[in-house]
Amino acid sequence: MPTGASPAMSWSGDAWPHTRRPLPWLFAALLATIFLVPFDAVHLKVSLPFSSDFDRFLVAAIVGVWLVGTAVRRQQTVERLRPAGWAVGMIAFIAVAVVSIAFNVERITNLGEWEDAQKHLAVLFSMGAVFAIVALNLRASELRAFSILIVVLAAITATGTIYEKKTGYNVFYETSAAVFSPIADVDHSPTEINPNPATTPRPTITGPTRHALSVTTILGMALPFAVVLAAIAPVRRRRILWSIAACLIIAGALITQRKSGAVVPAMALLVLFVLRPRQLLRLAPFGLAALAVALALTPGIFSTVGELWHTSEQDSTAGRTSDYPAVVPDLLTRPMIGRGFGTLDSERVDTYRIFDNEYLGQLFQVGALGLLAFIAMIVTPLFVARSVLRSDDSVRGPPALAAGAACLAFGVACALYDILTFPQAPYLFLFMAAMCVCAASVEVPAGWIAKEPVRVRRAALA
Amino acid sequence: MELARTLKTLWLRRRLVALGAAIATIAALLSVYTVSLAPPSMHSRTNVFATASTQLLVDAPDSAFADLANDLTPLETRASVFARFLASPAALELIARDSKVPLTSIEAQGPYDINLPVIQQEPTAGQRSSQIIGEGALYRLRFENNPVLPIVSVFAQAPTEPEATALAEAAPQALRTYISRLQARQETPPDRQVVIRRLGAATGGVVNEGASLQIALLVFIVVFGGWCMLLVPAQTLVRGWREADVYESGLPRDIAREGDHERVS
Repeated sequence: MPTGASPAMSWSGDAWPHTRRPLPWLFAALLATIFLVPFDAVHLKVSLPFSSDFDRFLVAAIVGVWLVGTAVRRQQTVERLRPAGWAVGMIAFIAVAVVSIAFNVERITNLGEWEDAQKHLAVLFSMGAVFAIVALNLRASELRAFSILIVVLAAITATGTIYEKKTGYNVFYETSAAVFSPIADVDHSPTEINPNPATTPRPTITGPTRHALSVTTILGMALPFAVVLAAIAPVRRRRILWSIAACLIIAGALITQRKSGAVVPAMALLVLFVLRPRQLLRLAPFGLAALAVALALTPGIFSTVGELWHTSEQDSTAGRTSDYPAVVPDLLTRPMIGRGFGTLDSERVDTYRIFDNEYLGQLFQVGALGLLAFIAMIVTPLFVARSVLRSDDSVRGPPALAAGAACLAFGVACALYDILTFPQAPYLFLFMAAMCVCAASVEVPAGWIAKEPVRVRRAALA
Repeated sequence: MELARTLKTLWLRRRLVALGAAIATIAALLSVYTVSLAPPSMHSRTNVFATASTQLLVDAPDSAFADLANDLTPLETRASVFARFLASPAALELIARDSKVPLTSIEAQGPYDINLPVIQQEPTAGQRSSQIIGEGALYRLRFENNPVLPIVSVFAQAPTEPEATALAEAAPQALRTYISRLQARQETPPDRQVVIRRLGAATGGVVNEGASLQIALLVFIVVFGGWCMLLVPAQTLVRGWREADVYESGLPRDIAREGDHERVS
């Protein structure tokens, strides 16, 4: 709990998973969907005026349950004060996105790009809704349980991804196709473990996503939770268990054979060590032991790591470097507000480029203002949780530290590929941003807000 | 609880909420209309457009497709060349004349080689500069050609459906005219003349009807939502300001002047 929050109270008696509140269960379903279901490849068999991708229905269910819950909720005994500016980044980004479209209406409609912009805006609003509802409803006493859930799900994803590399069988796509076949069409898995070297230099290992970098990003973002859980584990057995989970997650990320994929987990670990060096150095022996176990469990990982640095990536590198001069005419034409959010249709390769850098993509679409708002969206969770990142409060500190490191890892991943094109990592980022907000919130008795003067409330959040 | 409190705050400030609704309405209108005061007028900023498409077949006089012995490769090569020619200024001049559209209002693109790796298909800075210049054109043509087919696809865009159809129909006619002139000048024997056949009449329809309403609604929601979101912290700020006044009035002057109430408290 942040210092100064004198009227401390908690909901610990009614915390997920020991709760009948539907929202936390939906949050858990959302996390399970992110880690296990290729939801952007699952299209429900219904004709709708908007996309029938699986995630839209889950988000709609979350929003619906939240609205119903808000309408019928009885008087609460505890309320939560969120840190000032917790949603500033998100609101700024959504506002700039809409403004960029309003400013470019003539061009967007003339080029027939409104439909694309509409789809991307719908996804952005969905993500904003997820962030807001999770931040408003997640309780500090639930942070640890959700941290454990994230690690368990990531370990399953990593195991499935390793299995995919060994056998070519994408368990996530195949299972989804079998489970959802009565109600949805599931795209074929993009997995290709023995590609033609002339056309595709590296195997395509995607796990529950459509892109190798997407699965490495979600695994890299989950890694800090495993490490932090290992660091705070009270007994040696659990510490080893969490360390093995961490190694499994790293193995899952590396097995995709993307150099960029190694950067995200490395950055997440670096952030943890920078913030809590002494606590994490104690893990070194356990880490080495767990690494040995993980290597035994995943034979061939050494060769996979070796292949990372020997694979021909001339096209990939050339593609990245050629983006910079090619984007100059667009940036000079609309430097502040860009061409309009969501108008970058990467399938129109003759008109638009696939940017291997989300920051460049945002600069192209929403200009310098949008880029600043996008960076603010990534940095805001860390800023609001700064007081608890190094806290010894076992309820808030470790989850905040892990979520903060994950948010920074997301920020690094943004520089490696067009991350918003693949929805898993952005959804996970916003969930973790909401965890940061939750960890930095203060719980107070109901009615305290109305009674206490503003300066006391501010002091409580200081 | 929090939602109820927020709604109550907004209800207490209902005049300001109404002002926000008015401002959001103006912003929504300005997002889709250009307003002029002298003379008073409103012009839509959204371009409702129609598209039409057709295909043309590059063939021999006695139709190469009816005889299995015929080699189609020379026709495929010509189709590729003609597709590029159709995007050239010489062809656009003929298309503009046939479709009765000002030449300067037409932007033509393509064909793009779909068999190349993506990195080679993506536009360079120079290509993007040209594309950006042409983005404002209301009449747009796009030509596509698969290198292994003697067919050129024509996609036309114009403000109305008849104009889009006329533009699409004009492309095969323009190519036919150009080739006929060439053949006449070179005195090409009739049995060796390339023939351009249009594969059916151009068809099309209006594409983005309703975009104005959707964009205006979006802007209204965001501006109004933003205004309401600002009202709640603004009320907290006002409350804090008033409290500070009351608090200062009860403090010694030198302490009150510091203004650091959190520290004092």
